[in-house]
Amino acid sequence: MASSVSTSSGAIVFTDIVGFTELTEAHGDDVALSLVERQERAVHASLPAGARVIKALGDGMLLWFERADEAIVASVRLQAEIDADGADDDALPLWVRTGVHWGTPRWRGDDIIGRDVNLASRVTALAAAREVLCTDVVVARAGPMPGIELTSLGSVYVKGIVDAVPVLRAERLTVEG
Amino acid sequence: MGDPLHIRITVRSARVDVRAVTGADLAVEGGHVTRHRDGAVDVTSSRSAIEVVCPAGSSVTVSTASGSVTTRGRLGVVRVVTASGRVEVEHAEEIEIRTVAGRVEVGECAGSCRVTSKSSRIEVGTANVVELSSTSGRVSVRQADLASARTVSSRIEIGATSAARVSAHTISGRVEVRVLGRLPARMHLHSRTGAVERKVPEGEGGAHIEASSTSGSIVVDRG
Repeated sequence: MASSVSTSSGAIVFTDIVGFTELTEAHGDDVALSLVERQERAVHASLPAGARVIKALGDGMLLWFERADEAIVASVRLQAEIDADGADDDALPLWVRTGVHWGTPRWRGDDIIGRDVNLASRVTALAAAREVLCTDVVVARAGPMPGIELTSLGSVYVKGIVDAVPVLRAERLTVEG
Repeated sequence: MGDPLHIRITVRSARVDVRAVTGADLAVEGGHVTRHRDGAVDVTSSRSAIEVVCPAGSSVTVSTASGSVTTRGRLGVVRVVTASGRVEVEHAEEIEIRTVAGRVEVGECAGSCRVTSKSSRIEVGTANVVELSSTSGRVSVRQADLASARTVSSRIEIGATSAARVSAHTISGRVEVRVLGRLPARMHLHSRTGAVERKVPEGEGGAHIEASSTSGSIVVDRG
């Protein structure tokens, strides 16, 4: 029996804890669980109305935003939320990498599937700790975002995608002087 | 005489060699060149090697999936994104390199040098501002004024000028900061289970060093 499938456009965001395996190995499963819970708290604190968590993926999360600008701004804000939740010396580092893409995936129940989801995942894998990488598609869709600085990194070839994909780094704009 | 250009080289798999020469005109071997109205130049190729000669001061963006990337001479902004393959940049005003695997070597960067990698060894000679991020590849900077490094399991080595600001954080790697000159340093060092050694006197007027590791050791010594 065919399941219910629909489509809609939106921003797809993946988060991923950097060094999760090493931290789990060194400090055990209870600490691993606390890191995952810290990430979840920070993600929920960063989500605007209309955005939601699609699913947890072990040490990562898959998020959905109706607006591209909100996805990018929330992703940049996420690391600040994490820092605020573990600012003391003894807190284990929680470094999250984030990838943001705009697309039209297939909805299968509460899950999303398709090329755009795969691409968002691949872009996330290229991000450094505490970094937000965005495709040019989601940045174009977002338009101007006060307080956000975007840096073009060139195009990336990602596994399974034929053409190189232009990517940009999003970070909080720092004002000098 | 050639003015500096903005050159974008996009090729899935090829060895890319760029040579910046004062006053040179653009010359490309092994690639197809498209010149745009805004002055940008696109180079694409299906061949296994591209050689580019360009005016000194040009900016170069290289996108590949595999193949080594080498730049010689003085360039403006250099950006490289590759999955695998050695990356070597001799001299640039600003550098951003992103790779999964394949050694990265930077000679001199007058401005900001940012390198992100999964497993590559990263070596930077001198840079004003350097920001390095790696999962398992060792990272080292011979000399920097403002240095930030973050690794999961690999060693961090930083040579800091006497006025440097250093931030080095790793989960299970070791951190070594070597301070040049005779001034004291202000240090904030923290390791949960590793040894912490301060071989430089604590005090104002010199470098500021902030380092942490959850299980690796941290040492601050004279350079």
